[in-house]
Amino acid sequence: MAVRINSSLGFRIARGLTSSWMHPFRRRYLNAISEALMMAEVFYCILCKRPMSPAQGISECSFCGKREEADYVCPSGHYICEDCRIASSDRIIKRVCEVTRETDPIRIAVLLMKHPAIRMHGPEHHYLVSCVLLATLRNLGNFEVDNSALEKAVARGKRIPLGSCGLWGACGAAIGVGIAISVATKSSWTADKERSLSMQATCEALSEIAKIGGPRCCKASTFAAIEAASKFLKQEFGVDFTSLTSPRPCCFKAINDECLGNKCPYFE
Amino acid sequence: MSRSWRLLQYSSKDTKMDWAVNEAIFRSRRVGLTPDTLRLWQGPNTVVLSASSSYEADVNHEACRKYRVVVVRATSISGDALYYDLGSLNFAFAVDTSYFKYLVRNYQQVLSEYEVINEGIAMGLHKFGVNAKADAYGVYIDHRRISEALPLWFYDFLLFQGTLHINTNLNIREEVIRTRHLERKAALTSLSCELGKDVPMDEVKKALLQGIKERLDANFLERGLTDDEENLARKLHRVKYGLERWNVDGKEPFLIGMGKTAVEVFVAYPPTSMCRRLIDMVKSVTSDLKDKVEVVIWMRGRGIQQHGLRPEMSDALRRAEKESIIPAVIINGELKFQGAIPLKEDLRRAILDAL
Repeated sequence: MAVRINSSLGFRIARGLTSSWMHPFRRRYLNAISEALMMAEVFYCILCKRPMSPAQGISECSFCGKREEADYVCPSGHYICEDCRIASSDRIIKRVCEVTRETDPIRIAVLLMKHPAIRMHGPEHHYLVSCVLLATLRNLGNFEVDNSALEKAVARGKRIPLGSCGLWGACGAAIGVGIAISVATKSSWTADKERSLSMQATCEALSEIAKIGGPRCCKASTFAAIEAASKFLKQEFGVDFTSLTSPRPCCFKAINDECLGNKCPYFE
Repeated sequence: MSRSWRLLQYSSKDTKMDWAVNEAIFRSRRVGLTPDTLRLWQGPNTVVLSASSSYEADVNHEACRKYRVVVVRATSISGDALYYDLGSLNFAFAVDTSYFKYLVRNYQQVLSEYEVINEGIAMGLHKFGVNAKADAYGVYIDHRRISEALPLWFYDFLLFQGTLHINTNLNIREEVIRTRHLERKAALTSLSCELGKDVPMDEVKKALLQGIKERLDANFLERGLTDDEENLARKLHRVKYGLERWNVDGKEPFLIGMGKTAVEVFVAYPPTSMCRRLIDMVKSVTSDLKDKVEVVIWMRGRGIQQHGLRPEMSDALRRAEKESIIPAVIINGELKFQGAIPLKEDLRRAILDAL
């Protein structure tokens, strides 16, 4: 029995070289090497990719801000609390958006998208956009956004299925912008101006996402949706995102197998 | 320089065991215990369902009873149900196809591999003076199909298992298989139909080996099953091919490598204190089961290659990853414990039950 823990290198050696027929002694020798490599547990920070070291003492979670006894901390001081490590996508998005003081939606979105619960592409990006925008609007003091607003945004965003961009003609990240405006303005189907604004916001974001082309990239769509939303909010509500950073170059391009490359406005 | 292949001429008395043997030689090839293998065998009246065939819709069970036809399901990624009897020559190629790209001019992944094998079979049939032609989908004599196959892939490894209709009674085939694609049904033929006489099976085997040897640049050495393969085939027969759960419902256990019981543990990255306790518990309860159980620790967000270039991962693990079920213990492809640490006795019992 081989108990395998965290050593892709070890297994690349073991599986890669033992894939074709070989002498049993050679196989045993290679297996011994790979087992030895596997024994060394090295964890890499999911935020900065630097090797983490065993830690003692209290550290603050880089996601939710919770302070607790830390087990592993990276040289940049990043620590992820136990609750955040096992959190599902909706839970981590709500946790972070509830407590963050950040006023740059791109920074919150990038932080969340580095969490392993948020896959490279997936429907969780739909409500990620809404929650990130709502958290920023709350922090800027423009709208009253409490935790129930985030709950509403997640519940509505979860109803948008995977692939709605190509199948329905409406990307979930763009609809996420509309959801954020709807929740912030307390819009409904009977509302007047708020209803129009929610749909206009979706329309603006959708237009920007459509320019990127395909196949879909949920990271690029998220960036485009947030940038379009920031322009729309400034124009319609006078919200000034003074600290809005540029998502360029995209920090996910190296790990995205389906990256659009130079075709994507966030590639370089 | 030609490649060394093992020629395995092994027929079991039990049809279901024959299909367990195919999977056993494929798994053995995948993990590198054996070289590329060609198995030739014959068996009594059998309908073989593909993994996606319907036990009810694709088979006429009344006709099966009448002709004493056994129904078994094969692991495959495509193909329709096939039929063979003692007049058919069955084959199973268990091969690392990474060298096939050098055997064709315009290489097309997946299709070229099938084409090369079918061409080898067709070259063998030429020795009987028939105008056999091959493409990726089969071997034909004047547009009538003479072979049927159910391929299975594991990364670059291909198990190309099927049958060649030599003296097959195709009338029985027409009755026992409810073919949904009528054009394919009409296109079947056998070598004896084409030549107007029965053909000795030994001559066919000889010709076939010659054709395959030429096309695949293979050098055949006749060998038997290894002990590992025999043990694995017996296990596969016990937990898969001999059970209605697989043959009727198409539900298979998730076994790893040479058929070890897989215990997949899905944890956070880096593991939380709860995840660590779970890992330790799994290690502890499986410490005396080293020969039978393979424990694989999967960490969320580390990608499918955290366990090498050709990882084996169950569907239940994919679901746990998608739904963030952490921690989770998946035994033989079934999610058994989730979200908390189970009692040690419960975990041990679940693993023993799966052996």
